[in-house]
Amino acid sequence: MVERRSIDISAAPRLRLLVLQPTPFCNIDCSYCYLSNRRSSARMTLETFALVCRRVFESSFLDRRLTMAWHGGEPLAVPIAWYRDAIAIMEEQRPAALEVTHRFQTNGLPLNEAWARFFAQTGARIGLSIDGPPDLHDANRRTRRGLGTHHAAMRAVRLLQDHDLDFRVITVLTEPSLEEPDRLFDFYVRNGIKEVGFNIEEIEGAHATSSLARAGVEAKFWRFIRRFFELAWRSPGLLKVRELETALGHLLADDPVWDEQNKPFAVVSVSHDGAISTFSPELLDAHHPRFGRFAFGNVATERLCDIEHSSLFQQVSREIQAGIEACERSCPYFRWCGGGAPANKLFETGRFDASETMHCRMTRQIVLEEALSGLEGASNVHELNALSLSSRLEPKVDCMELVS
Amino acid sequence: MSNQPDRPFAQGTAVVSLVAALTCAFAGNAAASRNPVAAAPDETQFSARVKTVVDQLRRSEPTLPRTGNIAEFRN
Repeated sequence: MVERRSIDISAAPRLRLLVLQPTPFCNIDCSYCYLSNRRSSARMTLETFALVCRRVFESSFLDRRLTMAWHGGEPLAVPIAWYRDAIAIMEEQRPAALEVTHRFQTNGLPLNEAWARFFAQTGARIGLSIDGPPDLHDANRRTRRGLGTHHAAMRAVRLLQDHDLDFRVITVLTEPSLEEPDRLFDFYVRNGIKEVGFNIEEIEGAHATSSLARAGVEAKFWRFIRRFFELAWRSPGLLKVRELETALGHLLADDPVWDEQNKPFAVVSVSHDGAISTFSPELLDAHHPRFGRFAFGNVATERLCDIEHSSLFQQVSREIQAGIEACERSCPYFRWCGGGAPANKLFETGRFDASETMHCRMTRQIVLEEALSGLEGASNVHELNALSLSSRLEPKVDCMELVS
Repeated sequence: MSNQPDRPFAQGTAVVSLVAALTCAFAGNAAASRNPVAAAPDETQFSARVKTVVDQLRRSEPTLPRTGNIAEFRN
C-alpha cells in the first residue's frame, strides 16, 4: 500500500503563482462567470503595480521562479502600452536570480497582430478560452448583446498559429458538452489545438448554480472523461489533455500531493486596487456572510508577511486546515489530491472545513479513477511503449490555468 | 503551430478516421473501471491498485518522473 503522510499547511510556503487583476472588466458576459464586478472599467495603476512588485520581491516567501498570471477580468482589455510599462517597472525591481514568466488567459476577442508580437517579445504563455464547436461555445460565451463569440475566438486561434505562438485552450464543461466527447476531441484536433484543459461549470462567486449539479450529471461527467481519455491515450502526441497529464503525474509521485490553494502564500492574488488575498484566487472577488471580503491586506499598507497576523487570515487559515484534515480522514483519494480547493468548498457548502464537493468528485476523484484505469489497461511494456508514456509524462513546470 | 491556415484541417481529416478506428479498440479496457458515484471505494483498494501499476511501470520505465506532487491552481 502507498505510504500516507499528513499535509501540514503551515510548512514554509513558497510563492509560485502571482495572480494579478489588471482590471475586473470583461468585454463579454459568459453565463457561468463567477466575477461580480466584470462591468467595472477600473484599472490597476502603475503605482499600485510597482507596490505589488515591491511587496512580492521583498518577501521571504519568494522562490526562484514566479509565474505572473494576468487574469480576473479580460486582461487584454488593458492596453499593451500599460503592460510594457508594467514589465519595465517589474524588471527594475526584479531580483537577479528570480525567473518570471507571464501568463495571459484571454477570451481572444481583443487579440490582434500587436498583441501577438507582444506575446512573442515577452515570451508570455497564452491560454485561450474556447468551449468547443460554435453551438457549445456560443451557448454560454456571449457578448452583452447576446451575440456568440466563437467566430472571434477562432480568429484568435488562427492569429496565434500564424505567429507560431503556442497556446493552451481551456474549455468549460457544462451539461450539454458532456454528451460530446468525440466532437470536442475532433474540434481540437481539426483546428490544430495541441493542448486542452477542462474546467467545470462551478458553483462559485456570482455563479450560484451549475448545470452539472443536476441529478445524474456526475455519471455523465464520468462517461465523458472516460471517453475523452480513451481518445487521448490512443492518439499520443495529437492532443495533450491537462487533466490526464496531471493525474498521471500525481499517481506516479513518490510524495503525497499537496494543493497549492491550501498552502498560504503559494498563490498570492492582487486585485486592481491592490487588495491582497491568498489560497484560492477566486476568493479575491468574493464576498461571504461570515467573512466579508477575503482581502487580507493591501499592497499600499501591508507586507505579505504582515497578513499572517490578521485575524481574518488566521480564521480562514484554521478553517481551511480543518477542511484538509477532514479530507484526510475521510477520502480515499487524499494522497493524490491534497485536500481540494478551498473556494469550491466554501461556495458549495458554505464552509472551508468541508471535505467532499461536486468539484472534487468531478475534477479529482473521477479523473484519478480514469487515469488509473488507463494505466491498468496499458499494463504491459509493449503496450506502454506504443502509448508513448514517457513523452506523455514529461515533467512540467507549470500546468496552472485560468479561465477568462 | 503551423503558419499554413489550411493545415489544421488537413490534420483533422486524418484524425477523424483515427478516432473512429480507436473507438472499438479501447472499449474493453474502459469497462473495467469503477464508478465512485455509485459505490465509494476504500482507500486500501485504490492505493493497492496505484502501487501495483506504478511498480509495474517503474520496472518497465525506470526514468519515469516522480515529482508531480503539486496540485496546481487551474481555474
